Amino acid sequence: MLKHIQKTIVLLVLCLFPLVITGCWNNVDLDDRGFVVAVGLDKATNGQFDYSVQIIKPSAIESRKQGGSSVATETISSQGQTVFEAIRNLLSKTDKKLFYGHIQVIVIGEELARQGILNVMDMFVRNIETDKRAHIIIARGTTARNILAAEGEVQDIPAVEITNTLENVKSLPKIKETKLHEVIKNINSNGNNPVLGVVTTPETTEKLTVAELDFTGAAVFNKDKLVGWLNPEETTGFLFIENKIKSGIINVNNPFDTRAKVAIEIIRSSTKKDVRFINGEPVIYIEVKQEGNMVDQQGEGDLTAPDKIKILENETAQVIKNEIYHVISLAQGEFQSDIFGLGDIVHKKNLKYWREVENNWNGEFSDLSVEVKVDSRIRRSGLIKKQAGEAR
Amino acid sequence: MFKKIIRKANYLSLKTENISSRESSLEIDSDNTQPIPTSIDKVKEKLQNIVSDSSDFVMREVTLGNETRTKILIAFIDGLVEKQLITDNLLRPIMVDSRITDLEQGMKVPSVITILKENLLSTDDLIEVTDFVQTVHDILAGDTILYIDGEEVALKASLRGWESRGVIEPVTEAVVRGPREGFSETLRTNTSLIRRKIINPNLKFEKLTIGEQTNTAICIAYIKGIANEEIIENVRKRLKDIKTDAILESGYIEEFIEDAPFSIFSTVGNTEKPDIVAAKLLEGRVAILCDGTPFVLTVPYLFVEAFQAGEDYYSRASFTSVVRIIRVIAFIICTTLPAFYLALINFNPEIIPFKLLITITSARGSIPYTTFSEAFLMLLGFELLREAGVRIPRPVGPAVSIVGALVLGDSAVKAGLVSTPMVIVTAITAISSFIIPSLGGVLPFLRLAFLIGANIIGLGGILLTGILFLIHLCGLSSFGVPYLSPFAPISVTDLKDTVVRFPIWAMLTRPRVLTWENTPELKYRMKINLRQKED
Amino acid sequence: MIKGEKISGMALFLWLVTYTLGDMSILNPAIGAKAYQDSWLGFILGWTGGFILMVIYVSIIRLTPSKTLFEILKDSFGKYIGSILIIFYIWYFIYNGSLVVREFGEYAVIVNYPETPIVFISALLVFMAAYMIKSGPQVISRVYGILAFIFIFSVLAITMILIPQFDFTNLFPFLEHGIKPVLKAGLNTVAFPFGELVLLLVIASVAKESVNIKKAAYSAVALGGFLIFVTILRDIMVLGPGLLENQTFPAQASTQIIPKPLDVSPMVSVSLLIGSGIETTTYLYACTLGISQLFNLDDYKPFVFPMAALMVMISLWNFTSVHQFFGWVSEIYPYYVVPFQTIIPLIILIILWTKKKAKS
Repeated sequence: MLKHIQKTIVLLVLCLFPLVITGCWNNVDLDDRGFVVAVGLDKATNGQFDYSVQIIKPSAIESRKQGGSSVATETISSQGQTVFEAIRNLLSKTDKKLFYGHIQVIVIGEELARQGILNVMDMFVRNIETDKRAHIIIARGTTARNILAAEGEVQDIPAVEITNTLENVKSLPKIKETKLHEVIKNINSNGNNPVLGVVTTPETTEKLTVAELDFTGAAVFNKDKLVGWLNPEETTGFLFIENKIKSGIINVNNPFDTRAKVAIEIIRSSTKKDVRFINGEPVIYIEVKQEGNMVDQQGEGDLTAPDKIKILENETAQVIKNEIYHVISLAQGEFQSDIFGLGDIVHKKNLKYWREVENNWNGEFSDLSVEVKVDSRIRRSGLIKKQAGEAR
Repeated sequence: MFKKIIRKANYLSLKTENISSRESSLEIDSDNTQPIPTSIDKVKEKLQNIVSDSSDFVMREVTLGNETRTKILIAFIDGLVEKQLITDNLLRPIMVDSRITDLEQGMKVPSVITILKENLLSTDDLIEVTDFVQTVHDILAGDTILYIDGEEVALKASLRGWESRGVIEPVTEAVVRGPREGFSETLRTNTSLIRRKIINPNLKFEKLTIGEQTNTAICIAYIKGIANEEIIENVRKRLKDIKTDAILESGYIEEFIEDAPFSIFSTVGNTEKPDIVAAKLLEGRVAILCDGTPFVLTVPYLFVEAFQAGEDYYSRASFTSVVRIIRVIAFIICTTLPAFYLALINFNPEIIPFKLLITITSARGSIPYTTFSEAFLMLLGFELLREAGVRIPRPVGPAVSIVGALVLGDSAVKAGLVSTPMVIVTAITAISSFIIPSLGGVLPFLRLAFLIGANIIGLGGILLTGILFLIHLCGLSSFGVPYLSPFAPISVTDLKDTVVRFPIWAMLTRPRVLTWENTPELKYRMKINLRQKED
Repeated sequence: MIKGEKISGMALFLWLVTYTLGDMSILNPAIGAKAYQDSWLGFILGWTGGFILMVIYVSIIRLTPSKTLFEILKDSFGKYIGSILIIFYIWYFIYNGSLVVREFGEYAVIVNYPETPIVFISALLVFMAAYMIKSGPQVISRVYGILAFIFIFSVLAITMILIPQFDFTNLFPFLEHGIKPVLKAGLNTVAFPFGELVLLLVIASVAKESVNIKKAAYSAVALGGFLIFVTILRDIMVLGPGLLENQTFPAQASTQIIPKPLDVSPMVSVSLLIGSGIETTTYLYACTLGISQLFNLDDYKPFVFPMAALMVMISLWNFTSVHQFFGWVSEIYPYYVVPFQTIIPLIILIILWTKKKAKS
């Protein structure tokens, strides 16, 4: 009985401790955290890393809700010799404990990207707290800091607006959106070089808003160094090869009226990419199956007959083929970089051959011949048959 | 410092050697027996001494017969007897009828007792008593005693009747479908209510008297052959070992006989409805009825019973299963929701969806103290409100509750004392906690424990606290049956009535956990024949 | 002999399954052997090895019903050598227990609580285990009878959620690095999780007489092994071989890829806590039981808290850094456990057989 009572009392006293310990190591109160929504990395002129973050100001959100016009986020920057040091130096400019669990986007400046992004990526992957689903984009012709300073009009938080725009790739395949974990996977494997999204700014020098930013196009890498750019059309071609087209528009010439165009909306598209060995030599083989609807007819002409539709289909297929060939030749020629993951496929299919070429795969890749097959169908053309104006 | 506490603890300890050695200041002690004096005057004198100051004690002296003129003293307590029955069945026969007829003739051995018992008194039961102390006890319990001059035997007639609440629907256990009878404060009424549900000679009611000063009547009810003999014996033994002054309510008994007096979980169940008691008896449990309270105890009591309501068996199986699952979810919510909120906000904000997180952060912006203190204060406030709600007088109640809650809540948020998400969390917790009334005594402790666990080490703390409670529960047993049956020692057949309820025709056996391994031949209920296919 | 109420076959089965799964939901035994995408082949090899080991253990148990490992040692080898072997096994159990504690602590500190000192987390885990043991082995089996379902459910749930991310081509090419890493991976797998089932020799005496040990044990190896196999396959397919080898905790990386807004990393922590908990509890239980049976004492309960504290101490002291820890585990551990898991049980079996032959 005695022992029991003593034990209970000791336990009770011990249990009272937690009530007093309010800051129990990892117990960080919500107000003390600064939520980082965007990270920007640049190469500073003195050779160090220039590191910027966009943090949320909670009180500003409250006042915005009630109609005020203060900015909901603030952007602060610092420098350091490693990324981690730059992050620590940032703490001198803010009173909060920065929290990376919800970063929406990471912007990397062009100069830094040319030098190699692996040094920068390492910290984000190693750290358990960072959200690996953040988007990565390269700032072309400007610094990441500028991008971060852009104001958001539609959303409270500019970074969320950026992410939402990037997600529009579903409808507009001219944007390349890549997440952090995909980049790491790509860098890790030998035969798959990453392609990241791009952001450019317009020419104005006034205050930047996110709506003015242009996200079309893509940045091509060789391993982890930036080597070139893809314009919006080339990005579409690239997305075709990667089987990432969800929707999009292809403009083809109107067979009756060559000055006008007919718009075909892509409903479905699936691509098979493969490396086939013919006579021991690898050949790149790409097959696209695509379905679409005719959604906009410019110019006159009766396009309802099946043979006319066939013409349109062939035209569409040709457009897609051209885009694909163009992108591949760019990758083989100008960039000398296998951005399609063909090396991975060879690795998995033919180990012997891979062992011979793996050290110079990018060079080997540039010499491969390509075969592209596109099968394009047009299923429907909306509510009307001929063009709206033509009744007779 | 420990010595003082230990001294105090000894008072509470279960070894109550002090009490029985106390000197009894009464002339009458429950352990004594005294013979009944043959002279009525002596009896009168004795009774006067004992009950001298009670104005409700009535003594009526009458004479029997024309010739013999035997004096009879009738004693009873006014208020505990049916006066009409005494007049009609005792006084009239003795005073009037005995003079009309000629009694002594026709009787082989004329003895007053025999005459009274066999010929004269038309009460339904008439028992001979030889112990004076017992007669006093019986008078105080409501019986009527007839002392006969010249005899050492007194007669006891049970003509009890008093004002009682009657059999009405219990307040705490209202049902939508099912019988609305509830126990009342009279023991005999309660036993009759159970008798009516189980028409079976094996239904036994054993009577005991517990409580040195109150001498409360207790009844052990069980169905012989279904209930486990060991459990019955255990119950008897524990009840007999109770040595205390007063048993005013079954709750007193509960605290004496329970298996784990230091645990917050109750190992003895209670209910106010006879149909629930009947169902539990049929499953093999033992019921303990206590005079003076409508709450009947049932043992053994398992953890799953808190999630079962009597009504479950009268509604459809599918609906009941959904309701049971909701109860389990409500239990989990009302114990862990504040803790989860705290853990997620402070330790793992990355799990919360981004937009929600921003809203919560902006709502919390102006609160001056930590989330833990906020949660703690809200829980405290909720307990205060709940207790106040029980005590508030009826007319004022609704007005105060609605307006007060709205105004209080809103003002508190505007003043920056609590944040809106916290108010919502508390509100949901509060609502969920009303879904399981039987676990009411446990919930505040669980909530607080989980909250502290979350504060120390986040989600892992909640899990750890949960496991610690689970360990505690797994170690508990109620009268020999493991507390977490049928989950803990897994018994698949019994799982049909826990989280979901299978239809009645699918539950073929009595709970194996209660008739654990002792009555193999009576293990199965009668298998109900499903309707045969017509040819 | 173990006093008190005994547990049923189902409870024993659940205990063993959870114990086999243990911390395998996070760690991958085949990693460290550099087998990359052939880890699953190595695992299957180890699985068969596990079955073989189980044959040895079950045979021992059937020849000596209701006897704990320590009693068997004393019977087979005589009092003095038997006692020395018992001390060896006590050391083996407590060191393994400290490994499990250390591994859980490292995970918690790396993933969830970077600033918390590791002793705090280790102490909490061991305290929970000690509390459970003090209540008796029946309570252990009951608690884990319930927790096993949560454990298995969370493992399967995470796998289901990740199905859209599966990429079957990640399993190719086969045997890219040759057969040697696969064999090494297989050896690792036999060492843990399957070799740890030598604990069965201690736990079997808690089960009732009527329990079919064979059924419970083999089904446990089958189901436990299957679940680990599923997690290994999942990790290879989701992450790809390069990423897989580079991760400290593959399962953690897999869960981080699940698309927004779903975030199930708490589930991983939950399953690890339950898994590490049962391993710690069982090791601690075996250890204290061993001490009490070494000295022929009646009750093991007084030893629980001292041994628990000792386990925490050893877990802090044995490695200075997590690199040393993982290096030791992948290089030396598979060879270190061979005597305990394979050699001594084999010898016991041979002795018991000869004794049985001699009797008949």
